[in-house]
Amino acid sequence: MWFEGFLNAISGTNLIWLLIGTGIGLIVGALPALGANFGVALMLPFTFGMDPATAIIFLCAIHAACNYGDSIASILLNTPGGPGTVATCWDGYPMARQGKAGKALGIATLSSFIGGVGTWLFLALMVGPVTKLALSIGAPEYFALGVMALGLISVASRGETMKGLIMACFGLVLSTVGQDEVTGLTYRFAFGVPSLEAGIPIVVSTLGVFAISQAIVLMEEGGTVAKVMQVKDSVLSGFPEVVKRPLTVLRSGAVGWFIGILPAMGVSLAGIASYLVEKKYSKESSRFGRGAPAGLVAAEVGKGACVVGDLIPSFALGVPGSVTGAILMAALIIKGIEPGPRFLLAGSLPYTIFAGLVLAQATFLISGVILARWFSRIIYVPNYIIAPTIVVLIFLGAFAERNNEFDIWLALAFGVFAYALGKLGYPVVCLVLGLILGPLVEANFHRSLGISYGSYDIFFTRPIAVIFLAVTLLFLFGPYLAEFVRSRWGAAGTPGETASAGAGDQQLCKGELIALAFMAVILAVFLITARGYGSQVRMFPDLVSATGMALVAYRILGVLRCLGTARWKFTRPGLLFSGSLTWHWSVSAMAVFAVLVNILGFVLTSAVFTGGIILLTGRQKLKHAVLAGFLVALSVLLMAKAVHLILPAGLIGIRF
Amino acid sequence: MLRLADLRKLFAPALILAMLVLAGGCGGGGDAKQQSKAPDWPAQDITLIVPYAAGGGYDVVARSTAPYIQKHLPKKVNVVVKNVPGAGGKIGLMEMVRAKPDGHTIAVIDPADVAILQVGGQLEGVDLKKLTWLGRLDKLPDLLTVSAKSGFKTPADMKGKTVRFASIGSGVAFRSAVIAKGLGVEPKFISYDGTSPASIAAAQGDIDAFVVNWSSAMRAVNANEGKLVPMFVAASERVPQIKDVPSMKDLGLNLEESVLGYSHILTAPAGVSPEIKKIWEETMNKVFNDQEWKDQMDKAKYPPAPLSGDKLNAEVMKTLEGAEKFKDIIATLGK
Repeated sequence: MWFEGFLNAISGTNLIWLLIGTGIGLIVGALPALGANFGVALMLPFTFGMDPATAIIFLCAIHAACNYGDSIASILLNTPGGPGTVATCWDGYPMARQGKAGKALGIATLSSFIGGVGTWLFLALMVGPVTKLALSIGAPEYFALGVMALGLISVASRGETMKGLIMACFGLVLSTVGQDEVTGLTYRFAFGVPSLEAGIPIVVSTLGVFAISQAIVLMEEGGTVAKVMQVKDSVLSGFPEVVKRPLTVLRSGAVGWFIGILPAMGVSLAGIASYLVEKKYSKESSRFGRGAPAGLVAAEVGKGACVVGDLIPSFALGVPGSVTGAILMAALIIKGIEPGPRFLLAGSLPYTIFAGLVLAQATFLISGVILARWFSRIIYVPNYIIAPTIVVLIFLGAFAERNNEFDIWLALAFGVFAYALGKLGYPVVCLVLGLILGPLVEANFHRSLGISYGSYDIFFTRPIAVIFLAVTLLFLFGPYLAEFVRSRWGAAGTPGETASAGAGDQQLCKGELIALAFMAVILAVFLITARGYGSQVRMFPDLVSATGMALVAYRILGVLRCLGTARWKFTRPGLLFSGSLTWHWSVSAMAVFAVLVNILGFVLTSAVFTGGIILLTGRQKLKHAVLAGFLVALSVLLMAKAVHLILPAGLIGIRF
Repeated sequence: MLRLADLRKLFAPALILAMLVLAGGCGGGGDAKQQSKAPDWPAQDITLIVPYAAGGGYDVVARSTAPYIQKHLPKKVNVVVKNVPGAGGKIGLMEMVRAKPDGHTIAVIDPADVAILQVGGQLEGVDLKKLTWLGRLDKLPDLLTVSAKSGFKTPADMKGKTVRFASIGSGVAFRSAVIAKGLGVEPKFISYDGTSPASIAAAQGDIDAFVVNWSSAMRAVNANEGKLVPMFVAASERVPQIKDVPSMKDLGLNLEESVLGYSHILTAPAGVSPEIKKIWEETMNKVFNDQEWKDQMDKAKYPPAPLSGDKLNAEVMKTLEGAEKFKDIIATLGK
């Protein structure tokens, strides 16, 4: 069966479509902000004429290559190519800045390959038991899992626990915007904005938090990404870095695999979770965030494992593990093939598809090795060209997620917020963890109570849920427990982490005060608005808003102490004429973009914006700005045409 | 560096460009007016809005049909499927409703699903009765599916009990509530994100029952062999593809049929001119007679049930009026 499957997968047109899919995936993936869901959803219509195996192989190739390509933008530009590669930035980008871009790309390539193929082997051999496992996970277990993942905040914010908790709470609060998770029938915290009734899409918020904020930083820095102007190391030099860390690979692979096979937990969590778990257990953890290869390996293996782990339940269980899983299922259903347990009995087709899955991993590995060096040249392009181009792509990606102009504003708001808080030393990843996990925790909490007719016993009587909750407690309090035991028995006392509040840069303190006040106002608005909702619907928002409020208040007291008697000083925002822009200017320019889209349409606005930024940085002549604007607009237009995306036409209503 | 002089230089070309663009825009508008008189239509690509995410039932039906609309339109333009998900289908619906009524923007919707939004006061005064209903693609009766672990074999077993139903958005919750009322059952709703997770929960015995269209329901029943039991089809006729499952008439039940079941209907905004509506209806009739389209729909397990013109209008009105009768149920759903 397997032999026949592999033979089918490489026979005739299948191989060609596999290669075409890989090519498309690499391009869509490598572009910042356009992720795998986007690529697969847009290519779906082109599969209608194909036979089922070819269609799935084509889409899987796009999926695999997109997810790989996402890492390229993350490493080279610190801009996640998609929500799955957020954690890839944290050590990949520092490596690239140290002139080790080739090595970083090599690590990413091999790691995501190993993660993918390892998971594939494991799942292909054990579809039966894995299916059973996934089916035994119900609402209380998901709730416990969500809480367990929230426990990762303690790792993400090491040394800055208070700031991490504030961020996480704020993320949890924002995650309650939109259709409620209890009845599904109340639209919470929309404040009259129809688009908010549909909630905050995780793609848009991650784009804002990690990509927009990075674009602001790029414009601020000027120059080029590469501080070391030579990339000497080869892609292959990254491979040994992966091979010599088998423990890291195993740990992250397990995390990614587990998150992958569970429906409802997707790739956006996998990379972050693997990274944070590795940070807790790795010997190199002190170097994490400053270009540690282990961090990059962890993020990439976890992502790679989850990408494949997501798909197999979609086919074998008929339960989509992710948005992409759902689209692939639709592709099968359109062909009249039922995903589910019987799918595996459908002759050689499932084996062909499974073979295609692993072949797609191989094609991106090979093309990655060949093309990565070529991609890495991008870091020599000056930031005043790269930054506006990224911004246009981010806005395009944010818009395309649900074809909604409002999401451009949403991404911008998240970007500015994350930029400011990042400067103040807040771990913004905790914000994203809160946004991802909020719905999971809330929905499954209420679901569990519904299942048990309102009894809380359900969390203590389901063995798997109890185990997860116990592990969480151990995870959170384990270090303290160990310290307690050590001090009790008089072993060599190691000094605990002294969270030095810092000497207190006055400027930072004031900035933080403003940020905290802003959050306090938002939390207050949420607390007041929630009073209008039913008791169950408001329960979770009330809990997290109130907690957040308490944390913010506590923090404000701390900050006030550091402020002392210093007087307010206003620094006049101005243009820096060295090829860079202060954040005031770049943020204003992006706001102008969001307004102009409604008037000039997306294509013209991209041109005006790109040209405008280049002029503002003052490095280039007018004709260069016009040319760059024209080129960006043209590429946006061609891209939209190629993938049948309908761009906002604006008031003028020019349809290109 | 940006100097004032540069700005001034920039100003003149920008002004010219803007005027050109405006002139072009106005010219386009003029063309469109003329076109509505002489039916030289379609003048541009057709946007088919799916108010739900890619990969769901609406999406499958829309994507299966779009190529055939493209094939049979009088002029060669693209039919582009656009997913605008969110808020129980409201965002996509409102985008279609507010689009120019020139027939270039349509949506695939289910009248009962949107009727709930209207009765619940969610649609900001939009009158669904005025929309232009172009053609029904299919009609799928609802199937009440129960968990094998619930021990329920017949509707009589459920009577008077509290039954845990899956709520998958307002449409499913509403239909479940209507059926529960008819059966004399006290429904307890537990919210799920889709049919797949809801059916797994039912297979595990975490919930007792769910009400979705028979195509999705049978997919779930087949995927969870032996753990889910299809109880009855909430329509007076049995469904030919699943002859073993009794209809509600077989069981002597009388439920409000006008609001039960799903039909995917292509719909344009209010105020589409009669000429364009006629072209649409002719196009849809050609699609409906295309054997390839029928085969495609059958293959995707959404058997075609074409309907257009006055008959379709009458059916839609019956559903919209039927939903009004359940105002009190709809009001309690959100609580």
